[in-house]
Amino acid sequence: MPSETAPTREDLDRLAESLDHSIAKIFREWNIPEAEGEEIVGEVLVRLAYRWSRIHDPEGWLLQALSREAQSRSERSRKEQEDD
Amino acid sequence: MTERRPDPKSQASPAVRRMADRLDEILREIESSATLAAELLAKTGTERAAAVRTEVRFHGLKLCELLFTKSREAWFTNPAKSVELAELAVAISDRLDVDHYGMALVEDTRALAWAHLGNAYQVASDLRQAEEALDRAEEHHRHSDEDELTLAQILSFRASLRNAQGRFEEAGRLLDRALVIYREAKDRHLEGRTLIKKATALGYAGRFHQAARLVRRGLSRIDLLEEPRLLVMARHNLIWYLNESGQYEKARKELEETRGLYLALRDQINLVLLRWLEGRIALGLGRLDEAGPALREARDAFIERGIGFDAALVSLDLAAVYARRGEPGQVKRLAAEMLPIFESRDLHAEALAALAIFRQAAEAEEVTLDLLERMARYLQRARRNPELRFGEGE
Repeated sequence: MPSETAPTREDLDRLAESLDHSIAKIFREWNIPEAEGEEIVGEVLVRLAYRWSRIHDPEGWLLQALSREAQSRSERSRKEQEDD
Repeated sequence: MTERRPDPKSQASPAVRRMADRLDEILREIESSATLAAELLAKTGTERAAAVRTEVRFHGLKLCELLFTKSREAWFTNPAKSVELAELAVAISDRLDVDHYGMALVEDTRALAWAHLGNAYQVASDLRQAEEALDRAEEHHRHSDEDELTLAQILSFRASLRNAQGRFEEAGRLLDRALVIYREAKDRHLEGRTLIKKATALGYAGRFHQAARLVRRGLSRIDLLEEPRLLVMARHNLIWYLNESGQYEKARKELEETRGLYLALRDQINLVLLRWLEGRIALGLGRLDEAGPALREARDAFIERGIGFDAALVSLDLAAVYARRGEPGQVKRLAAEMLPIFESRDLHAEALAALAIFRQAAEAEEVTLDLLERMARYLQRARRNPELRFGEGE
């Protein structure tokens, strides 16, 4: 299967490797605990894999998607704490 | 005490490791989607709807994507089929398993399926349903993870609808928003495609100089291998805008440089469009003896293929040739021929009413070049707007 239709394991490994520092920075910024961070990365990678054929800049897309998800979860968690 | 900082490798890399099985699953889904689509499309309309309703194996995200991609391919060859395929994609998107794909991905796919249905309606001239479908697409987009590329696609389809409605300024603004997204996503091809589309909006609005500039910018960005048809279409539009802005000689030279591309594409309709353009350039250059045969050939080819609007537009160009030659008898004969032919083609009632006005003017030998130009502008705008009347919003 050509890697234009879906990423290979190597594609994702390379992405994770090259973005490790930036991903950690995003989760630090939004105060996301480690386990939740891993869950977010997993979810976002599935979305990336399904959309692979139409994304020209996977690095940029992944960071933007992770950032948005981390922000949304952080805001949700803060709101839940306020409600409690 | 300092807060424990997450180790990046404990987040990204394990997530990738766990992805291995899921990746295999996605690849299997992609591989099987073509077979499932072929199976589904071999059924009758009723069988298809029943299969999508009852059989879980047809509830796949990649199958849904494949169907709206096929709907896209049918836009210009078979608008009714394009609507049917997009409706099927929407029906599948409604049944996607949220637990399996996740809400964000499901809602994103629904947004894209509805967006494609909206554009298919627009191409099929159902502007009201197109608007409603695009509203639904936006609603699903809001419930998804709001992927920017999906938003750009919706904006681009909405712009096509605004073009069809004659709301060109608004179309331009929507495309500007899509352009920002494609630039940020580093997608040069889609950026180029969108620039060419924006040029179309400017061309419809009669801003030919700006349109020509924008097409050139778009052309410098598109990937020729990805969409060779787009290259020919963009070059065709560029030459059209040059000609419309009075740069007849420049248009002629550009056409000579592009002729090989039209021929290489081997698309019959593009060859007819080439003939029409040759006729119009010759008309602009005052070479009426060259313009007449080229326009007649193009008109006959459009009539033969049942493409009513273009046939009517070429007929008006032909009428301009006769009018400039001072041959009112030929204009009268042309007008008398036109109406019965177009009554049996895809022209809507308002367009036919406009052509009846042309026939009356021809009968009275009162056809002027100004009337022909106004009539042509009207037909361009009325092509996808069946409610637009001649003389309205000129």
